[in-house]
Amino acid sequence: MRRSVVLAYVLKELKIMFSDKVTVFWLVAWPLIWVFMTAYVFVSPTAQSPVQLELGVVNYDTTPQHNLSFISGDFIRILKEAEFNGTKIFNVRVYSSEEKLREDLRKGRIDAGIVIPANFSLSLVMGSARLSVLIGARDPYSSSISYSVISSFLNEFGRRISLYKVETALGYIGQYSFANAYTPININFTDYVKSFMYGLAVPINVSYENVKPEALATRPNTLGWYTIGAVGMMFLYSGFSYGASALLSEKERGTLRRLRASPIKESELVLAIILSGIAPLVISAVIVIVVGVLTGANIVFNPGNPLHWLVPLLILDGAFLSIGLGILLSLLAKTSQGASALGTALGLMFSFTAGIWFPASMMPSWLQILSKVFSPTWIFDAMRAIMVFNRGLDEVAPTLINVALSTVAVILADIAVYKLRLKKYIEEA
Amino acid sequence: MHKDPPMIVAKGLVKKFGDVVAVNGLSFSVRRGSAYCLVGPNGAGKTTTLKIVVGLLKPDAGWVFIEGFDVHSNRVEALRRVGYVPDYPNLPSYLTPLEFIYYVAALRGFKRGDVEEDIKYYIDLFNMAEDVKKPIRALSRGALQKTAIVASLIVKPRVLVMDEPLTNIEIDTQIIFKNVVKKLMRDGVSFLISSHMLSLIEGVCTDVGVIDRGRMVAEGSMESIMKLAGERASFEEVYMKILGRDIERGT
Repeated sequence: MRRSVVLAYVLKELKIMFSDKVTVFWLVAWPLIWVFMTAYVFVSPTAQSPVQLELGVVNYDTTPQHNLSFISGDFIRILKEAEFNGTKIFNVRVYSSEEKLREDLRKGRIDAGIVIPANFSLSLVMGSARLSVLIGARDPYSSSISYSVISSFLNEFGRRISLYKVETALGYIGQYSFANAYTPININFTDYVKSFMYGLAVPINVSYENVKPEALATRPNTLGWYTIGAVGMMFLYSGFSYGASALLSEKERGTLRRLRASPIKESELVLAIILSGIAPLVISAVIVIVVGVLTGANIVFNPGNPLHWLVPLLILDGAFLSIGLGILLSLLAKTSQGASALGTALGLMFSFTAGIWFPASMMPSWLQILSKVFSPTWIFDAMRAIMVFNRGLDEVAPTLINVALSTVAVILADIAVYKLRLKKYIEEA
Repeated sequence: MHKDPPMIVAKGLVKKFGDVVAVNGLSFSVRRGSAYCLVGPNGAGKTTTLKIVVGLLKPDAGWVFIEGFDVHSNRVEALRRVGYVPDYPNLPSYLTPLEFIYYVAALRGFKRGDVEEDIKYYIDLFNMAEDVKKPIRALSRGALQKTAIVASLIVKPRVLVMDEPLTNIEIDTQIIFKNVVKKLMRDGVSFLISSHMLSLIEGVCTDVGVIDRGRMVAEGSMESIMKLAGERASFEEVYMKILGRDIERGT
């Protein structure tokens, strides 16, 4: 094996690849578009800011408002002033009639509407008030968002009204003495009644805490996950396409004939072709990862950690596996164009369904098995485990064993394909 | 003069494409420092024969040895001695001629320094200075052909196999090319050339093989072949006589 011969071919191929704008687009620009979309659109830095709803309100409350401790006007003021993290929750528009409010809802001008009925203030103060909430649907997601926001607001509002009423009732109770009254436990009767009535208002104090999966816990981790995903996606469609079409396109261009008329061994030629595919994938992977880090992705390469030195090997192996699987696809194609199209289509399909770009958990359960048997997914999961989630060798080792076994399997399959098909292409050149 | 073993020996070559017999029992040899020209009508089997000689096609029968190495069982050793100009110069369109020529040299294991002087010499000789840094896709057909010729020359071959090397080449470069061939022949390089170009055949060929329908119909030194149609006959007349064609036809 003469290194200079292989190197000459690889350098020639790199020069050709990076001179072709379409190839550069697919190798570098396309994955970077996904990285930027993830960083600034899908997981944008402002994604955590609260939603503000366009809310219409009609107030039919005709209760005489003197002598009442709470009136519907207070309710509308609270709606207007309600904030979350410094942002107003509702942009309130007051309507004169329910018809007009419904018309704007139907036309998608507002997200939701609240109709305050007659006697609302009196019912609220004296007993139980009725409130009608109309939820619009500006797009497939807005109705559920509007429902969640309004129901959360009204639950909190109802809880505070209950507490206010309990406080008022306890004020009355405090004027009487219940020295000999029975209590089930050994406390003062008045304290017992207070506690009991607070319990009526707020039977359960629930605390909520978001415990997200590690992959989605922070924006940098999410970006790290997707940046590796962008590398994986690019490896799949480019590697499949290149592996399937490389020899066919050399043959169709007539350049394989020149190689065949040169004193180059077949093994040197096949190795040169595979390395020519691996080199741009690796270069592109490094560019995508660097850009991902610059956009805020948590991807750490720690030279002091021996486990991290497996990452370059994983990148090389990922590139090889993609091209190796592409070579298997060459069995199904007759022309380089057909082979390239087949490789690109299957590469994109696998990257979206096999847990490389979208997490496998987003797939239907019957499809999730794909990510468990698709060896490139193991490689990119191992890269994420090491560089994004800083896992140890004990957690990564089983994956690495599977990766090594699948690489050997692909090499053996490629040798079979070489004997079946590629050798014929070379001989026919 | 004839004591050296032949550089190329082809024996009993047969090549079929389906039912079509392209080459039918062809045998010839090319002496050291000579130019053997294969001539014949279109479809005679010239290009197929050259492809067999450089290992691009495997013959159905027969064999080719280049300086003692079988082209098919010892391909790498045999082709190490050969430069090749194919019938159509398919060159990588995104490279420049200069990059392509260095690439061909590197494929043969030459370092840049080994071939730099020769490349400069031939680029200057073939008036390619303006073209060598343009992308190949922007070149004229003649410039492509010159690039293919220079690429075959700079790898210091002992045997040059050329299929219609002067197609689309301007007249002054044709003259230069013929001079180069003669000089290299004096240096011991052997040529196997297929051509329809009379000036090339008459100008450089020392030996001629006339083939028709895959068979050798006449072969010998240029002098002996020229005598086949009389003392003062032109090569055109000799060629037509060998093939049994009427030189007056169409007048």
